[in-house]
Amino acid sequence: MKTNKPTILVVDDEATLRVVFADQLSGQYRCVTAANALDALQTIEANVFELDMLVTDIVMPGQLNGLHLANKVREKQPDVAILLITGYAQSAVMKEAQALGYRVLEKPFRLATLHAAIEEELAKRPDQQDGQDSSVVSIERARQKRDH
Amino acid sequence: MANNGWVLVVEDDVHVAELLRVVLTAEGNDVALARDPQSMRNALAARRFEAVILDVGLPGRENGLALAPEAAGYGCGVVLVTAHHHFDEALAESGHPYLLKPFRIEKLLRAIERAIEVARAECTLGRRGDAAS
Repeated sequence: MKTNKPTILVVDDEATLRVVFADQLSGQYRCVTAANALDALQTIEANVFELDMLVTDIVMPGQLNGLHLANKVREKQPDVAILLITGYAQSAVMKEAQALGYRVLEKPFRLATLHAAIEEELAKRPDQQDGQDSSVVSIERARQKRDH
Repeated sequence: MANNGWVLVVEDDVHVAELLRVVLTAEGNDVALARDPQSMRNALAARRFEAVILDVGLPGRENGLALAPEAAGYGCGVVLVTAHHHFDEALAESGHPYLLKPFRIEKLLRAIERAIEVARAECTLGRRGDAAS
């Protein structure tokens, strides 16, 4: 039986970091990655998977940065936990993010720190009862119809 | 636990198809993508797939529900996926498992795992796959 791990959308323009984050987090979480904020936004708007958390770098090339992305996610899916990451400590955008109530991790950080921050932010979400998801019922209903 | 099966994703939205491919591949499956009914038929004729994910909302008359019996005829386990919850009754009537978007990744993986198991069992029993032969 596959266990229900929280699903995290990891967004970073540096491919190496995306791979490292996804690899390090994959034991405890399901990771979906995106190379920039637009790609991430497309994933969110596709609305295929239930997302539990967004972990995004703040400074990325393109018109949307990580803070813009976080604001859009907060607006569209307020139950999704959000963690911002930056290599530009005390930058204006980092201060803006903190002023808006986001948690921001400064690079470099230890993986244990990342894990702890993710766990803490996930724990702040309202309880998500797995059994209430209609898709489980749907599979069972279909199977019953087929078998009878 | 890996699925390790051959899975065909029939989905016209390239981004959604790619998301499904990434998630299923990470779980050990071999995944091919088809964007329309004809591409699905070509893929199913070319090799044996054990599971097919069909987007119910494919444009045109040949949507996922209409294509499901044909895909199943190739001996594949079929999993239907849709964002349109008003299809619920028709989906239940289809006899195939289905997932309503947004769904948990685990639910997709469990549905695929089950579809692969059923396809392999029925292949062993020689019940299905006539369309492919």
